[in-house]
Amino acid sequence: MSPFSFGILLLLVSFILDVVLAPHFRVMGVQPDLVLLFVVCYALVEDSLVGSAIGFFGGLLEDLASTGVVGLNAFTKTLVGYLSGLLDHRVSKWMFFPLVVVFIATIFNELAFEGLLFLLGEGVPFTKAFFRIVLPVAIYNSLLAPLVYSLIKRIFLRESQVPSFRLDEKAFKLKEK
Amino acid sequence: MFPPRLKRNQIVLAVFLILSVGVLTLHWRLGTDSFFNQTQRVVVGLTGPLQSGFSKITRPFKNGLRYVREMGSLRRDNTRMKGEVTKLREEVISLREAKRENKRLKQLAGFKEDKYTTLAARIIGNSPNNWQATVVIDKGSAEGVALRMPVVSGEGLVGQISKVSSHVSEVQLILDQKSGVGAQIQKRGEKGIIQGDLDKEPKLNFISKDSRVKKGEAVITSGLGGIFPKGILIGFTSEVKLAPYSMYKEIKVTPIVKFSRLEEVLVITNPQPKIPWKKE
Repeated sequence: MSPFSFGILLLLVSFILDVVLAPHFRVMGVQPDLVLLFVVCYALVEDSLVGSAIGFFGGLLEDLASTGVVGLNAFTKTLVGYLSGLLDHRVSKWMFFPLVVVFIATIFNELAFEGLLFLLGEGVPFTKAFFRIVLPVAIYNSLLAPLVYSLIKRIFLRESQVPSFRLDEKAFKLKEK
Repeated sequence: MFPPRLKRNQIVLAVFLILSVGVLTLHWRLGTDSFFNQTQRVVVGLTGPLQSGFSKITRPFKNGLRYVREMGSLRRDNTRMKGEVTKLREEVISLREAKRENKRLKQLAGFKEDKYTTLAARIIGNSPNNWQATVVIDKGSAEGVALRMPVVSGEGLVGQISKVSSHVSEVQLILDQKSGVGAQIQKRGEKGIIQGDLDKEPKLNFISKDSRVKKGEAVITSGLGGIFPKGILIGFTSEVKLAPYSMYKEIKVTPIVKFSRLEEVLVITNPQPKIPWKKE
């Protein structure tokens, strides 16, 4: 299975968990964005190409499951997936690596989302939105990040045993580190 | 200049960004009856059964947890409520008399009594993201639900139907930042609009700065706008402030409905509203 189709499969699972499970685990009025969490972690294990593609489809799915304008999440998550995929794997051994990256990525994603809402004339008070939504979601996501990241990394390494040129190359790089 | 792989990745990024902006613009311009809205309804219809199944599984656990949590306050509430029951019994007797009198006078004046037919529905899911305040219910167009129908609970106003699928619908809560409900302060008759504010307490806008409204006053639907029937309790004013350089007061309302505990709602499927329901 190619990294992209494997990513799409995992993306569907994370989307279903995001819609069905996440709303039941609201803390301080916010729920984790499991699709974003998956996009960032998968892009970290993969690269910016797969990151942007998975980000686009993940965002599109989220948009279609909401009442909002379709394309907002697709735009922000494409960017987040691409930027996360650019990060150097050499720093990935640092214990807090996924936690910090997911925290920054969530802040970036939510601020970009808020910016687009503002451009569409649906702007919300910035400070209130930052402290009520952006920051709590970033903290919530980053707390879940080490678990999701290690899970994806483990699945990815196991999947990479399947003969496929790109995956073998990636697995080789990861093992090399 | 760039390594070929990086350049390829940038091209793919640009393609996806352009696609996103294209979809966004199209949906924004096409409005509510576009292909995107139909797809949104299909997705809600597909995820609805999953949400319903999961909420059925978790309900006993949730109920158990709630029971344990509320056990301490039950005895205290019981004593307080016994006292209230005696007072309320006296009030009911006088209100029954007033109701009979009101009915007689309405008949004399030729007024038509407002009667609402309702459909009970169970909440099976919540908003999929943090920027919206919506819930998903287990009734859809097949059961007679249509877009913009008002939704209430035993306590008061919940919101309105914002998306309808065949057996599942989405309800936009009054807490949603896009929600606007015509409201009035019951005691004074002053009218305004209740708007969501990324908060558990929505704002009551457009109440004049000269108003004498105080904290703790009941806010009900005004019936203006043609969506919500008049007289449904929304909540009580919790904060009244004078805003500098504004013609209006800054008022916050604590909803009577406890949205975090909401499990069942009633959809008002009144067949003869003042403005025809917009059908999807």
